[in-house]
Amino acid sequence: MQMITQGEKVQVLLDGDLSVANAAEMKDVLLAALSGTDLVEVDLAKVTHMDLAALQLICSAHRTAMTSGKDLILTGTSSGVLLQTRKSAGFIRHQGCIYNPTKSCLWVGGVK
Amino acid sequence: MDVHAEAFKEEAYELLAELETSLLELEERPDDSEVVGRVFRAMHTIKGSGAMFGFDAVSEFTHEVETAFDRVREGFIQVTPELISLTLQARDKILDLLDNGGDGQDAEARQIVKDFQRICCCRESCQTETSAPKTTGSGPSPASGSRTYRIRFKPVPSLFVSGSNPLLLLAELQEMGESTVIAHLDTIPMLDEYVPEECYTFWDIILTTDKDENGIRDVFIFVEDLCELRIDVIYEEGDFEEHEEYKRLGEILIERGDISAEALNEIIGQQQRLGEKLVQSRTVEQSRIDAALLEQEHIKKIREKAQPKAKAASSIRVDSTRLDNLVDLVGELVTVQARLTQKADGAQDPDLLLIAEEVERLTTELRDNTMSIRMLPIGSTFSKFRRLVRDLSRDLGKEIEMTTEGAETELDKTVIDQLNDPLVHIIRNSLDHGIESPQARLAAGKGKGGTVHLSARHSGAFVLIEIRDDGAGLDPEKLRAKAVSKGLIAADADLSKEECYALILAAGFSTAEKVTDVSGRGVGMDVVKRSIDNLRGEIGIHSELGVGTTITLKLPLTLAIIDGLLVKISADFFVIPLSMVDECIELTREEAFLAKKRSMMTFRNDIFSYINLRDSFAISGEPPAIERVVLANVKGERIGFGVDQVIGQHQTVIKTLSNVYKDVSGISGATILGDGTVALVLDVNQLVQDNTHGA
Repeated sequence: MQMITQGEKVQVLLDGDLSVANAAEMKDVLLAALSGTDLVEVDLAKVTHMDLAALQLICSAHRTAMTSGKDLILTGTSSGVLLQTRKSAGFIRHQGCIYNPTKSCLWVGGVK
Repeated sequence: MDVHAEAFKEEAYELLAELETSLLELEERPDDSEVVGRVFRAMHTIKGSGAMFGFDAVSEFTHEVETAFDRVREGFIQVTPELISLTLQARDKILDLLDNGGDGQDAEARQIVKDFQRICCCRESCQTETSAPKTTGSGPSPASGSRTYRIRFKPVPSLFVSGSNPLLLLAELQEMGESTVIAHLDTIPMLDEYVPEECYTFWDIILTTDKDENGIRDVFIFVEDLCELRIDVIYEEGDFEEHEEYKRLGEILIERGDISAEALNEIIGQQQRLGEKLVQSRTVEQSRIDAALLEQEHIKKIREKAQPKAKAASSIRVDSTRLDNLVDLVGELVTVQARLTQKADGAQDPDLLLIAEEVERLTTELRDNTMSIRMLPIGSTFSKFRRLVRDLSRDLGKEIEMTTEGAETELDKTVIDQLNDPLVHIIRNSLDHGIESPQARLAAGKGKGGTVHLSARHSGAFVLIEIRDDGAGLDPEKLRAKAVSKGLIAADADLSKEECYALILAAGFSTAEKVTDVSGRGVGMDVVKRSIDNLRGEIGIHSELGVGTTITLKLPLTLAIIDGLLVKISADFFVIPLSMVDECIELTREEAFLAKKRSMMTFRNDIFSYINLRDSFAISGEPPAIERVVLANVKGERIGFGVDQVIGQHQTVIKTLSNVYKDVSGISGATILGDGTVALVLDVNQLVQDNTHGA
């Protein structure tokens, strides 16, 4: 796990197996990233596996960003790992949650 | 009679036809609960709509039958041949009530009702005595196997600590059948309050599976103490007919315990979509509404799967006279279009030509479309004969099975309507004269039961209908002798096998030694021939002694409009059906003279019969220097027709000739050409017959 600051935005590079075992570490990285800037980009390109704990954590981080007027976006999602995990975990929504004024929920759409 | 009653009758006829088919199917497979269901539903619908449209007698009578089948459906009484026969009898009675009215209280109706009641009571008491009701053993009915469950799976926060992976549990559920998984995420906290090792999510899973509740609980067996688990059946196959729409959003939420009924009622009343209202009022979290909406969607999908046929065959019912009007109009349009094309060809105006061509293309499409509306599958006619074969073979003491093929083959409605009687005659003949008694069959080394096979298939612009039996076959010598004794042919007439077979089509010919009431009054086959002739069809007979007989009917796809070849003799126009034409060739005056003299012509080292139409129709005038010959295929034989000029292809709207001309031989109708002149449509078969007989 790595954090790179690029001007206004902070990039969080995640890799390997994201599971409950390294969730604590992931939480710390995300917290740190959100405290520094208004735009956090979480890159999942090198992630090989995710579990529910990781999904929950990303959701929580997004919420945190939303409520504090910041932005958190996901990149590198084309590998399909995220999509697969979302599908099996049922992270599929019609609309964003109550914390999400702009309705930019990570779990809206994308799954067919 | 008002339109609704008429519509009900229409529907009832269809239902009765379906009922008959289903009953005969049920006779073969008495345990098929789906067929029982079909019988029941047909009865149920007749009863229900009958009462609605004032056919009280029909409704009351049907009620008795329906009751019986309800008992069958529930497994209290079993399907027996007796029940089937009785129900068929009842079906005929319903038809009679529909057609002729009556109060359904006559002796026959009362007897049927009594018999039904007897069957119901007797079977039920038997059933209780033996105390082995089928229903408890194998479940209510195998057809309603799959159910849809709503599963709420709410793990405790410490789920991860125990080493369980909820995603694996969900995957296991998803493998059990069609599923929709919805995660509820509203309890996920902000990052600073977030405990990385806790499970914040819980789920609603909508699962359609054939497993039972215990099977589902087994999936959660290792996390039993670590979760709240609620499993409800929300939908069973077969449910959907009772309530058309699935539960509304509010109902689902209340059922799930996501909202109380009082809270819901308070919110309804504002004019907004309920889902939005609920979220706005913060009564229910968005994800719970999402979950409820997804449940609706899931059920919708399952239902669509359950009845794809009903969806595909959405149709409207139209009076057939309206269709006939449409065909007439299209016919006139085709004629006008021909005029337009002719005018445009002569006008040397490229723009006009373009329009004419466009109109021609559209007209052709319109014509084909209109014709296709009139096309019906022949299957409904076939299934009528199933009953005929069943009843007849019983009367005759023979064991005969009917098989069919190509029931989906489509034919013009008029053709199908007029085909019924000839087919009945042919099948009766096969059953009565063709197929031998079981004893005779065994003696001949055949199986005890005979088979009648009906098949239909397309062949160019024709449909071939075949009636094949594996009976005794026709004996050409016997037929010949009979014909001679009846004075139909001369004693020394030299007939081929095929010509002998064709004798059975002659008027006043009956081969049965004994006249039965089934067939054999000698009026059958010649009537068949006349009907098929009227349809411009042909009859072919093939037979092998001791093996069986095959009768083939070759029928045109449609009667109203055909593609024809327009030819001219002197100043007169004629149309030859294009489907019969092979090619057009030319003869010089000398060749034509020789051909006429010999009624024979050679072409590509082949010899054909030759008929000069100018002579046939006694048209005066000088033939042209080079004569055209249209080579036509008549019953597998090529015959040349001498004409003056071949004009070209012509869409022919056939107008029937008035009764005054009905005896004119060689002409089957007339058509109007683009410029208003009349062309006669040639009855090629008849022409050939007349000429060969004359020779």
